[in-house]
Amino acid sequence: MISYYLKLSWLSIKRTPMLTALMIIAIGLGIAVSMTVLTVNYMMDKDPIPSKSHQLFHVQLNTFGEGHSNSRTTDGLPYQVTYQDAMNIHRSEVPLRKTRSLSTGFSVIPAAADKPPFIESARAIDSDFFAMFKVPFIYGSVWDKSVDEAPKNVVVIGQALNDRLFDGQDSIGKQINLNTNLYTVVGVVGEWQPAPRYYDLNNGNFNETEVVFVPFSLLPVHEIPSWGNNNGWRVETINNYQDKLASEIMWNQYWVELSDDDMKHQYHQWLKGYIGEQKKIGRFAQKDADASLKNVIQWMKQNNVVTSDNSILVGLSFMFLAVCMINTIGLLLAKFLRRAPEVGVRRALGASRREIFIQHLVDVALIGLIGGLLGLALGQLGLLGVKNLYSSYSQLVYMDTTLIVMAICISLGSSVLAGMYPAWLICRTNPSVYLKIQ
Amino acid sequence: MFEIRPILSALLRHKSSTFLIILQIAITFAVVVNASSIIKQRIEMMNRESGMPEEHLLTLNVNAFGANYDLENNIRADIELLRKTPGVVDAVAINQVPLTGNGDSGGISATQEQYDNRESIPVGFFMGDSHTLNTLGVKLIEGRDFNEQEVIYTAERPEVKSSIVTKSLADKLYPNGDALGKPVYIGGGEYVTIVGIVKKMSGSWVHSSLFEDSMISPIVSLDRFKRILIRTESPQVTAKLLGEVEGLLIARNSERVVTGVRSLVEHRARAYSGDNAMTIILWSVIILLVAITALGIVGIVSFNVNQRIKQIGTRRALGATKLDILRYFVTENILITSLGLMVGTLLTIGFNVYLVDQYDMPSFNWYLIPVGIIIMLLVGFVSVLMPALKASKVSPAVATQSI
Repeated sequence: MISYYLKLSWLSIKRTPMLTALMIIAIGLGIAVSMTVLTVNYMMDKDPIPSKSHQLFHVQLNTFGEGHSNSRTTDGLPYQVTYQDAMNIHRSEVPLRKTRSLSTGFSVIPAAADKPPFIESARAIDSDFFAMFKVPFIYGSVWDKSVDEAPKNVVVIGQALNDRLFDGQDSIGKQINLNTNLYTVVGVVGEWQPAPRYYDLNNGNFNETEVVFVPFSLLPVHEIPSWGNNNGWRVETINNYQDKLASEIMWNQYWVELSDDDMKHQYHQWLKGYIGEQKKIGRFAQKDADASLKNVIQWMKQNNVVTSDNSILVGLSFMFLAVCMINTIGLLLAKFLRRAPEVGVRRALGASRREIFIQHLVDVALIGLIGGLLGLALGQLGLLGVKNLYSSYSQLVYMDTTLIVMAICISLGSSVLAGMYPAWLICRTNPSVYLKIQ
Repeated sequence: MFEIRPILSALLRHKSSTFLIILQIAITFAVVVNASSIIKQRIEMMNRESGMPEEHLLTLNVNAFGANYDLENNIRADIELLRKTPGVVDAVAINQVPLTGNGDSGGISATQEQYDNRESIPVGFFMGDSHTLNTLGVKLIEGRDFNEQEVIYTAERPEVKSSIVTKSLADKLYPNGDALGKPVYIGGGEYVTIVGIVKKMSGSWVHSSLFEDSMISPIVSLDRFKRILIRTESPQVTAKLLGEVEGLLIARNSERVVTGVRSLVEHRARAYSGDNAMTIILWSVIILLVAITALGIVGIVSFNVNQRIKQIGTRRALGATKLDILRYFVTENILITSLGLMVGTLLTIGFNVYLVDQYDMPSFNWYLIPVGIIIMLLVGFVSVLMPALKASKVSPAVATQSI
């Protein structure tokens, strides 16, 4: 039966090539535009670590003085934490895993004198970082937990740096020179590029991951500078690195892994206790100063990873698709009504209304499918264009299987939806009217 | 005269297809007007005057790693070397460079009282030596430039006495236009005096409200990470230096890494890349959408013409001229388009209210609506012309066939 329907549909397409072509173009463009926009949006909004996005929490502490707040967020909380708070809350035994984090960078000085030094971005973190964010190792592993307290010049490097310095060989135990200090390589991490780079949304959402990881405990030892944001809210005299460590400047980040709601609750209570203690020495001056724990998804939302431009474009592209579909309904009405005499004959010969209805929906579905395929092809062109326009998104912008299936479903679904009314109208055709004329 | 009544009764017989065209035109109109409004606003933003000779400017970062690296003398020597380089007008070690998206900002106010009442004005803080204005190429319209004696080289919090502000900032601090010589409270109990006012200068963050509000202080902070800004005689020299400046600096002292060598033209393009992309995407959406709507009108009217061939023939046989037939379809189209545009205007306003509310988009200029209406009527007219002409060519003989 279905092959008979398809054959009839094919014949009808051949009979009205111009109307059919118009419909296919309309659906194709509608799908192309909405899929291009949707791909960018979907890739940005995608859960970057599905297995743990609800266990990893970014810690925010409201250390602001009375009357101060972060005007760029809805809840007014600071994005980052002070060094002293990062150090203090690190004492909590509640979280399953925990890490302090700082965006920084080093001059890497190759051993061979003829090779010029170069800059690499780096991150100062605790040993838990790698397990928390599922960073894969190809050689060695992370430094010993004791190094988080007792600093040692050890380093985990990325594959790219290992390739550059050691030709990709196992470099465990070798030394590298960062800012004229020697560090021992304990691990090499492999391919790891979460997009968005959710573990640090304050310093470039789609930047490349760092290739140098050093223990956070080295901060005071080597006076490791911040390469990210430093936010102060009161005037402080900062004459040296020690002043900065003791200041209220917010320049560190803090992440915890909490296995369930109980642990989350317990940790929140612990933080509240900490804030209460600190209030006694005059910090956390706001009356209702609190801590906030946001998981990866909430943290991405808070930092507007999906920009308002993206959201507007998604809205516009769906209005675009709507116009294409309304257009298609109009054209379908025209196409189907033209066939009314033929339907009259078929009805007179015994075809049921249901069969006529299905027949016409098959017609539409075929057109929708062809339109959808055209849309996918045009969408690839659209994505190429978007890649050119936004260089930082290039790694994001591709259609995976989910998106391709989605495109086909949208085009089939929306064209069948568009075809419902015309098909319903035509199946109500009264055979006698047309038979009379014939 | 314009056969409105027969057209209306014909339209009422095709309620659904008429309704569909009206809806289609309405949504198209709402999208086109709102998209043009966003495009217009972005283009205006991108075309803001920067006050600087961008094609003559390039910037770079010096990352010093040497263990016994003398910051002050190396900065002085680098700047001296660059200033002596042929083709270079001036150079300065600076804490932030306009349009780059990096730098320092904070709040200042005219009095401590305002500051303590949280009425401070957000500003970008620029720090450099007495060559800063000349290197930036900005125009001093009141007061004086810094002199060499007041420049402080320090790694600590300096005690500054004088500062230069942009006109935009000066007017916010002192709305009467008498900012020159007046004090500015910078927090921590400290005041500085405005010694000069600059006509116009871009800040670092192009999307920030403080973009044009900057304060320049005569400080060279001694940092291992140092930005340098160079002004050249011509875009050709800029292009040449982009390739050579790293080697020049490393040859003088190799205990550092030079990064981020870029022209300000490139920084501008990067800063506005999102807005540029948005305008291009919106343009594409507008063009495609209008094309689809036009094609849709062509399709539907062609179909209507085919359906009514016999009626058209009859009218022709009864004495209607070709022009009458043409006019019938054109009038019909204008009627439908106008209805669509009426609905569309409401939709446009509704959509815009939503955008303003949800995404802080500026509301659109009212004149976009009449301009949009004229454009859409033209599009409708052009699309209907071809099928209408075809209709006007229907021979009166058709009336007598097959009845």
